[in-house]
Amino acid sequence: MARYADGDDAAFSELYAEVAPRLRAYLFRQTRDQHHSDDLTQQTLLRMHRARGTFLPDAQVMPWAIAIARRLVIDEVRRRSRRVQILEPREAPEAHDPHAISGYQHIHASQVAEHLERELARLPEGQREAFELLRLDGLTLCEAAAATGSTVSALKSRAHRAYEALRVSLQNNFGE
Amino acid sequence: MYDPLKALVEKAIHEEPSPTRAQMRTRNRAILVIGLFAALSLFLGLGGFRSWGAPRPLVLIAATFAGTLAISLTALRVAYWRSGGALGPSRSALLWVALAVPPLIFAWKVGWSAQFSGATDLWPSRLGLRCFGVSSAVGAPILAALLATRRRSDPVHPRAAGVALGVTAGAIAALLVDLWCPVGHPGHVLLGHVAPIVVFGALGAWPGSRLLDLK
Repeated sequence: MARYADGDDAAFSELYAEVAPRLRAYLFRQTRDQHHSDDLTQQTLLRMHRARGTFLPDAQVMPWAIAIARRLVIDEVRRRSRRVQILEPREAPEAHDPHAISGYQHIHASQVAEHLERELARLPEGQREAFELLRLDGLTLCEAAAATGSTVSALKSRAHRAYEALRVSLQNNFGE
Repeated sequence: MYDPLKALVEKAIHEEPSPTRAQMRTRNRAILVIGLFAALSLFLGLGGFRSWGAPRPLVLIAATFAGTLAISLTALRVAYWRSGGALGPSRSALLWVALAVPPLIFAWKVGWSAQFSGATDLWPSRLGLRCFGVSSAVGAPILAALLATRRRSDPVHPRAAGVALGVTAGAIAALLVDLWCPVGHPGHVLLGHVAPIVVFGALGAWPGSRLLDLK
């Protein structure tokens, strides 16, 4: 991103390779719609391009990209007054390898994953967001706090409550 | 492997060139110089440093100026200066600027004026409206410059950043107006010196949300 911000247009390919898959995954989780998430990914990347002149030399690109994407989702929700729906689990942009484990294990893992997804969607938005940013998007506490405009301690507290809620739910349903 | 999304994005960015960091730096420096020049020109055109026939002790002038300068520079450092992260100052920092700067400037000006006999006397012909006008005139180009040079820099809380920048512009204007105005009466300071800061803060909210956001 630093090279792209300095005018090296060829660096965009590297930037895309680094950022786009994670953005798509994040936006797919927010929208549950492949086409919509691709559209928002495109808008996010375009906004990053427009603002490249403001990107600080030593800054981390992923928290910035997530913050931009998050803002787009919030604006979309406000515009459409649409709530995130709990749909049937769909294949995320990253493909799974169904042959890596045995059939029974795969079924069990799928059930646990589906259960987790449902429970995650039921969590309060702040807790769900904290969990996703830290565990699924791989941001650090500081990065996630900055991307959401929150404090580290508040985000940590929300993430902890999310972990506890999911842990209790898994224990009750699967004894794990 | 062909990625249709990547192709779409590359086509879009090709059609819409955007300035690089170096171009933005040059542009921003020019805007800041123009804004400061405009503010100083207005200040000097409206009379500059004057005593209005009732000169204040040099110590009082120096003390109120130095304190207001320190507050303004701190506000500028917190609300405007971006270091480290790409996401701008934290919400708590912006809130601090918006809430603390006006009362601090009021307390400093009135507090120091109270140490000198007559400095907090009411001037019946100087209720504060003229100072309000001068603050507004001087602060406007400063606010415009601060907002313009922070365009597309805050994807998290652009409105709060706009408010903090508005308060900062008002504080810098108060710094200059302090040289222009010898009145230390609390009511006058509140209306003529502090109220413009609050108004600028409110004024910064809407353009902040439009200009500072990444659209």
